[in-house]
Order: sequence, then structure tokens, then C-alpha cells
Amino acid sequence: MRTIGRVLLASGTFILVSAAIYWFVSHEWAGTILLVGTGTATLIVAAYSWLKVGSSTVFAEDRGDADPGDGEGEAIASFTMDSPWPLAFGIGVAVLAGGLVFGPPLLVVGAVVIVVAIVGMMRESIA
Amino acid sequence: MLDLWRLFVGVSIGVGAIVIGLIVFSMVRYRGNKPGQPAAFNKHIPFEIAYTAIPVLIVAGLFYATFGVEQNVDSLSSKPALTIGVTGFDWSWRFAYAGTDVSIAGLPSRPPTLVLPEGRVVRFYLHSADVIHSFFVPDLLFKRDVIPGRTNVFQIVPDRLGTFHGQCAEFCGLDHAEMTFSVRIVTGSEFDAWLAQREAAS
Amino acid sequence: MSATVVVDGGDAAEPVGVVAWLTTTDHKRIGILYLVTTFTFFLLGGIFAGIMRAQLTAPNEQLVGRQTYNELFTMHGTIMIFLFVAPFGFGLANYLLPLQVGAPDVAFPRLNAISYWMFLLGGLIVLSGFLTAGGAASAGWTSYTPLSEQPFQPGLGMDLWIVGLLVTSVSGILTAVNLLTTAILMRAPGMIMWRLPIFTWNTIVTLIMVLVAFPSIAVAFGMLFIDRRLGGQLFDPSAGGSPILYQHLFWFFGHPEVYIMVLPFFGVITEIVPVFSRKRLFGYTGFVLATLLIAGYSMTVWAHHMFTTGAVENPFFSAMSFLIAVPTGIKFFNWIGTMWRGRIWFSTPMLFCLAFLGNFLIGGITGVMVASPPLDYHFQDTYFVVAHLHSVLMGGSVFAIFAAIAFWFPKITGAMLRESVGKVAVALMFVGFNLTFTPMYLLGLRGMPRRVATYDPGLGWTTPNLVATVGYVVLALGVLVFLGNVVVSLVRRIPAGADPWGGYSLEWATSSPPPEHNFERLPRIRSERPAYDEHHAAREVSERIEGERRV
Repeated sequence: MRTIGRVLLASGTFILVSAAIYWFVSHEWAGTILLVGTGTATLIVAAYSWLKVGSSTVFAEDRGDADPGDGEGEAIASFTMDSPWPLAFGIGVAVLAGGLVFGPPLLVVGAVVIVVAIVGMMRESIA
Repeated sequence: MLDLWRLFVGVSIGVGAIVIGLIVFSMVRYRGNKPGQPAAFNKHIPFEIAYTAIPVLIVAGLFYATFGVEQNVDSLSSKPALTIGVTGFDWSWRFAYAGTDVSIAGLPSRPPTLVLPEGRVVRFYLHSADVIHSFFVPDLLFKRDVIPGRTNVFQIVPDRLGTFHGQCAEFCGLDHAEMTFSVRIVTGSEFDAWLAQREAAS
Repeated sequence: MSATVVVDGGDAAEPVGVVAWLTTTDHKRIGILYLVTTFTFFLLGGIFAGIMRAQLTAPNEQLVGRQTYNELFTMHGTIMIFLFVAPFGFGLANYLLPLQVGAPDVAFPRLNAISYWMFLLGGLIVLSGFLTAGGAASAGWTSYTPLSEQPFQPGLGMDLWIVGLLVTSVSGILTAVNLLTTAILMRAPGMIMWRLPIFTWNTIVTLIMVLVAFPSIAVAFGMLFIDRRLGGQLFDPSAGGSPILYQHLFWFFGHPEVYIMVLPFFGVITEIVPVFSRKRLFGYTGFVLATLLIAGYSMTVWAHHMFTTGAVENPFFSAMSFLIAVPTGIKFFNWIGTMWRGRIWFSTPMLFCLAFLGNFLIGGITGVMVASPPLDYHFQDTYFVVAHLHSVLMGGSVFAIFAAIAFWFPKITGAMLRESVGKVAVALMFVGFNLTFTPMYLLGLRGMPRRVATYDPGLGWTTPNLVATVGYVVLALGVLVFLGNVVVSLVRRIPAGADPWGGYSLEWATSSPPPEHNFERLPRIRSERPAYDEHHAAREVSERIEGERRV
């Protein structure tokens, strides 16, 4: 986490400095807003990885001398192997998008399919 | 302007030749699946600094050269002898000579001809009636976009007699390919005579 | 991590056949779905290119009408950029990234499947424009306003284009979140960031750029849709809207997108060149830092696509565009330094990499030329730019894609490709590519604008266009030979074994194809070449003992 935090910190700073330079040479709004937004968003993620995660623990994947099997703990989740719901969700999104072009009835159908797919996935996770 | 072209082409060929040369040399010299371990050559700090610093110097030089020429090309400081309003529309052009009634409009099937005097400063005001077009004359090495809701201005000094091809360069719909025009550059006196004749006719 | 994800799935009856592919959440299967889907899109876009080349072979050719031609080049660009090159990178990352970091799957397997289906269906929505009465979108892949607004593009094809691409861009964002989480939190013990394979490093940086760039295009398309269907006037100049704003939003996505389409394939090249030079990568740390610099600069160069609008600060964008050439150039020296004093094995993947180096070099150098505004005043929107972008994307990224297929085909399928046929394909494609695009540089210098359905004789454009069409035929033949090689190698299999090339990264430490959750057993990770270390550990120990005895 340390490394990725540093990468994001450097990137966000770079973009904000660029934004400042850009504003002073161009006085152009659209680009300046885009750059400031991008840099700030990057720094928020950097701050999160720095403050919340980076300082407290060192994971096995961040220790150069860790061996296979190090750092294993209790199970927190399991991988589902097969699920029909992602396809259903995708179809729902596609129908919804079609509804934007061809009219509201498809919007309703798409929304219903998406809700069904989400419920399906939640039931899988509980079971 | 042409000096800048020569500089860029020269630098490009030079850099390209060096890099291609290094690639081909390594391919030939270090070819083959010979027995034995290859060299453990995977780090060389002075070399790495050099191949970072030298390109920085090259692009700094190119930027310096570019900047000077661009100020020149984009400059509107000298007073124009002739002002022309250019209107791009789907899919042809209209050229209006300011201070006169002369206006030349074309059709996709009948491209218009823009007549310019040699050696005089000509300023162009670009307008669009509908979508974005781009006023492009390859032989002048120049184009400028024609944008609705915005007036772009540039000026040139035609320095070569003859008739040249011009064309819309920004895709503008169905007949974009037909949106051509001709540029005829004539001597100053010929131009004055032509303009007077056109004005009398209109 | 302090907690472990267990793998659980054996209790229910496992689906087989088509159902298995429709319901899979295995990152390897989803990766294969991406690769096959995107490659199919590539062939379709390539056929469109062939029709355009046929039309341009001679002046005033009337093979297809102007409207059809405009639809073809719009969809060619859309397919290649949105539906092929970038998502092929996602597909490759989907397959390889969990393997390379030593994870059993991606962080969110079902989300991964959702991303794929959204990508596929979004792409089909874009293409479905061809079935509407007004035909597909025909405003160019950039769809500049006001040309893409309702009065100039009344057809439903344009609306389908917008919503389809919105769906695929959301899919891209979801993929980025998923794979980034995997790379950051699911690495195997000992796989610190500075031991990650370069393909994974470049993918991480690419995915960060996706998160930054894709929202901008989603906003641009959303605003365009509001203008078209909901009575907005955001980009309508007659009502005070700004066409230039659309270009800012589009290219704030569009230029990072160029690097999104290139960085993963720099990664591919950087995986392959060291393996076949029998050496470690030259300058690993410098390479990663250069990738990060490219990502940073790529956010600040967008308006070099707008030099001729007269509405942007040209010197700023020109300076940034020159600077971004430096870290890109550094990579060439990493690759050359890797080959230097190595033992180069000219296998098919390596030959594709060498072809990449030549083609991409030309694209990079011409990129510096178009970064100079006074020169760009001529080049912009001519065939010089077309040739430049194809040097980068076709000669660069697509050649790297073929290198990737040739390199990882044994891992994915467990069977080898025929080497001799592969070499014929490389040769045909390299010759064909240069025969197609070198004349286009000349056409650009002679002032031929892009996106014209036809042209008049007498402008010096006829011969180069004829040569380019011949080049296309050779290039297409090369692609067909490669495809034939794939089919034959799948039918008459030559088993590959776990590690046919002497590979370096972790995917070569497991079987081909890898088992359901990738690794029966993970090796110890002590360098950026864990598979190599594992396979050579015994020999190195004996060599060290040998050396000590001599001392």
C-alpha cells in the first residue's frame, strides 16, 4: 500500500502543479477545472491509502522476505464459481440503454431486470 | 517556416537512424541461441542518465525553435492591405472582399476561386454557417478551423504566383470531400484590375 | 492480508458447454471471452478498412456511396479504439494480472463478468446502428459537435452510438476498479510492488488513467445525449453553447486514451524481449518511473489535438507534448539495453516485438513533428496524422497484440503455435503495414485531408493511394495466415508444457492452461523473475557451490 500511496501522491501533486501552470499561461476554464478535479480526486485516494492503511500494518505481499503461506488468516469470503446473474445484469443495462433511445417502456423493463439480477446475486452471497 | 521544417526533418532522420542502427546492431551482434550465460547487463546509471538528459535537450531545442516560428505565424501585428471574410457552409465556401461588394460563393459541384495579390498582407476572418470546417491550403502549409459561434483570424503574405488547391480539412458531413476551392495568386496590379472589374460587374 | 479468501465452488453440479461460458466468473475464461470478442471486432473493423482502401484506390471511385463511406470510417475508428485495442488490453490483463501477482482470481469475480457482458452488449448496441433506417453513426469517431447534433445527424444510429459507448465506458471503469484492487491487495506473499512484472505495472498505471479519463468521456457523451434527445443546448453555438467545450472534454479523455491503448502493450513488449534475449530487463526501476511520467504528462497534452482551433494555448500543449516524448524514448533504450549482450532467440513473439520497435519508432518521431504547432498547421486532419496514429496503434499496439497472442497462446491453450507459419505471418504483416502507411505520410505532405470519400485526379494523390491499397492486401494476408495458424494449432495440438519459452513471471510457474484457481503451489518470490528463479534455483545453487570450491 505504501508504494501505491506514493504513486498516487506524486501523480496528484504533478497534476495540480500542472493545473496551476496551465491557469497562469492560458486563463482557460474548462481545462483548469478538469485538471484540478483530476488532481484532487487522485490525492483523496492517496490520502486514504496513506492514512487508513499504509501506516498501521505491513502485509505479507509488502514484505520482501515473506514465504508462500505467510499472512494467511481466517476466511472472510468465498468465490462463487458460476453465476447466471452477471449476464442478466448486463442484459438489463443494455435494455436500459436501449430505453434511452427507443422509449420509456424499455427503461422499465431494463430496470426490473437489473433489480432481479442484483437480488439474485445477493441471495447467492447469503447462501 | 521552411527552416523549421528542415530542422524537424533533419533531427527526425538523425534520431531515427541512430535508434534503428542500435536495434539492428543488437539483432545481428547478439543473435542466436548460443550456449553459455548472457551478460548480466541490466543496470548502468550513467548510461540511463545520458539517455534521459540528451532527449530532454533535443526537445528543449525543438521547442525553442517552434516557439519563435509560431509567434511569427500567428502574429497579427502588421497592418493588412486586404481583408477577406471567409464563410464555410455545407458544403462550399464564400469569400467576401471587405470594403467592396465582391463576394464569391461556390457550390459542391462548382468550387469557388479565391484570388489573392502577391506580396500584400492579407487578413482572413473565418466564420461558419453550420458545423466546424477547416480552411486548408496545402501549398501555404497552413490551415485554421472554421468554428460556428467563433471568429478565427489569421494573416498571410502570398509569395508565390500560381493556382493552388484548397479544401475543407475538418470532416463536416455528407459532401465533405467536395468542399474544395482554388486559390489563384496574381501580381498586385492584376489583382487590382480583377477586383475593379468584379466590382463593376456586381 | 490478515484474512484469506477461500475458494469454494465444488458443491453444485458444474455447468458445461455454452452455459458454462455464459455463467462463468473465472477470470481466465472471462479473459478469453474478451480476447475472442475484441479480436472479432478487430476483423470487422479491418474489413471496413478494406472497403475504404478499395474506394480510395483510384480517384473518383464510386464503390460505395458517400454516406456509406462516412459510416464506415466512423465505425472503423470507433471499433478499433473503443471495442478493440483498449479492451483487448483489459482482456489480456484479465487473464494475466491475477496469474502474474499470484492471486486465485480477481477481487470481484461476478463484477468482472458484469463488465464483460456490458462491454459485449454495449459494443453490439453501437454496431446495431447499421440496422436502423438512417444507418450507423457517421460523424467520425470523435463526433465533434455540432456535426453530431440532431440537425446534422438525425438518425437513431448516432443515439445508439452514444448510449452503446456509455455502457462500454462504465464497463471499463468497473474493470479498472476490479483489477486495481486485485493488483494492490491480492498479491502473493513476497510479491512487493517493485517485483511486479512490467506488464502488471503498466496495467496498473493504465487502469489509474482509465479511472481519470473515462468519466470525462462519459460526461461529454451524456451532455451530447442531453442536447440530442432532451432539448439541451450545451454544445449549440446558436444558443450560447460551446463546441470547443466538447473538444476539451473529448480530448481530456482522448489523449490519456491513447496511452491507455499503448501502455499495456509496452508491457507486453517488456515481458517478451527479456525472455528471448535471455536477460533481465535493462533498467527496471527507470522503466516504471518512465511509465508513471507518461501517465502524468498524458493528462496535460490533450489540446495538442486542437492546435488549429485557435482557441487553446498552443505553446503550453506543445511543450508538454515534446516532454512526453522523453519517457517514451527512454523505453526504447530499456529494450535495446535488454537485447545488448544477450542471446537473442528469434521466435515469432520476438519477431513481432522487433517489428513493433521499428513501426513504433516511426510513430514516435512523427509524433514529435506534429507536436510543433506551426508544422501541425499543415499536418492536422491530413493523411500524415492518419499515418502517424496508425504507426502508433496499428504498427505499435496491434503488432504487440499479435506478439502477445503468439507468446501466451501456449499458456492459454496448452498448445504451441507453428513457428514457421508464424514467421511468414510476421513478414507479411510487417511488409504490408509499411507498404500501407508509408505512402500515407506522403499523401499527408501533399495535403490529402482525412475522411474524404473520394478525391480528384491531378493532385499527386493517385499513386500513393494505389500503393497503400496493395499494402492493405499484403497486411490482410498476413493476418489471415496468422489466423490459419491459430486454427491449425488448436485442431492438431502440439502440447506446450508449463513453460515452453523459459518465461520469467509467475504464470509460467503453473500448468498450461492453469488449473481452476491458478496455482497448486506458489513458488517463493525473491525477484521480478519468480518462475525463472524457481526453474533455475537448483542449477544456481550448484554453480555457487562450484564457484566457492574454486575459491
